[in-house]
Amino acid sequence: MPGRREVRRHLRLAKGFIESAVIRDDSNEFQVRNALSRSYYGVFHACHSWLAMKNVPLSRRRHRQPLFEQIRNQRGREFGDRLKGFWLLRKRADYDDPEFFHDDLEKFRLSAREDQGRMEAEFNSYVVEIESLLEPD
Amino acid sequence: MEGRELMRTAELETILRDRLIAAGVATVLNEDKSQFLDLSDGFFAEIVLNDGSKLTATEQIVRNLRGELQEKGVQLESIVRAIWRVKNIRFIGPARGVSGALKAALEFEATLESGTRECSVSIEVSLAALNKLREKFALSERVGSPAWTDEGDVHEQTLKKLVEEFLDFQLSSGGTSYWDPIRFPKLELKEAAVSYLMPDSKAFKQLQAAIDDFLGDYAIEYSLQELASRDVPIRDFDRVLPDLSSHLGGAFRPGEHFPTNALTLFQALGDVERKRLRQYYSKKVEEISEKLKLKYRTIFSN
Repeated sequence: MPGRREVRRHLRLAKGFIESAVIRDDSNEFQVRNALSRSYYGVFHACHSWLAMKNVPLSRRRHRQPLFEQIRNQRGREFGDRLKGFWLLRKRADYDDPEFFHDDLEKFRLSAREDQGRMEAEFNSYVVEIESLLEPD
Repeated sequence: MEGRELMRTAELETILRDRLIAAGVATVLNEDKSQFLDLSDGFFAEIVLNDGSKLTATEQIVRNLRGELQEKGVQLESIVRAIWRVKNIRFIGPARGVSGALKAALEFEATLESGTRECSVSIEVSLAALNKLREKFALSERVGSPAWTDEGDVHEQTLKKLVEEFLDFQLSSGGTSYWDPIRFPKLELKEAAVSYLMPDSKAFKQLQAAIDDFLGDYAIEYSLQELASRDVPIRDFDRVLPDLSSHLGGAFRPGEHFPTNALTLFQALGDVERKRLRQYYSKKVEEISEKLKLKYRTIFSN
């Protein structure tokens, strides 16, 4: 059964990724892509931490697909769909998808910041529950 | 597993839907939130209704189907839940334990509704959560006090609004972790929930981080030397504020301009956050070691 140590371990990673995912006004294409990718992993580890808190064994969340299923199963369809959407975004950010970046860096930064904001909000919705549990009564 | 191999999620969905139609509850089925999953060890069905008055009838249908499937060797895990919304919230007073003894919390009662059904739930706002709110409203003199009054403390209306947002958040989760207000009519609103529901502004976080850096172990000696060389009293926040500019940058978030001027950032804050930041700064100044206070007594004396 997962313990609090594992919950904290994934939470630490999640926070680290979210905090390091920064898009500045002068960020280049690859910094923007990295920020989107790191934001997704911030959400991913927040989900890991949350599932560990729910005593879901590691074998059911070690890999992406079972983790997605667990989130859908344990947190509902909307949360599952959003997580999948963030993963698709991460994939587009990490691979050479010609539709993703159109040489307009300003526009790219702008839309990436919106996506990042949505991922940060999702991340926060997991973290609040985890921290409530870790908070002393 | 033999039975499960013969069945697909879509078939299960069709069977269940037919039975819901026959029972007259299909009209309240929430199609967007309901789901049918084929998990490694069986099926999972989450049936979400727009009307809580149909819960019992639907639960019975799903229970019967589960029994039938079990006989065929098919496992079905299921949830039947309703969509609830907050109708109203009432302040009760200081919370009490089972024995009747006072608890370090405030109690609120909320009425939730789902279609034609209503239910009542109790929410306790912990003292830690109340203190966090007091910090957010720059009511530092109230922090730690177990007593609460509507005068000079966080207003009742603000607390009710927070409780409502907290309930909305609790009701937003689905799946097996959904909150069932009928079976679990008591909730506790803790400190972490306040931070989530009432996040600090980005500018506030940036300035707070700059203060931490300015008075942190690494920079404090240099900061004090600098203030002493210009004869700036350390407790004069307005005169120290420009010095924070060179410590900005650590706490900014995505989607924001990189801040370079502490004064501009401070002016962007609302009155409450300005007051809070002053309080935060004063507290940090008082925490400086006696040794340093003695060494730079000229800037601490006035």
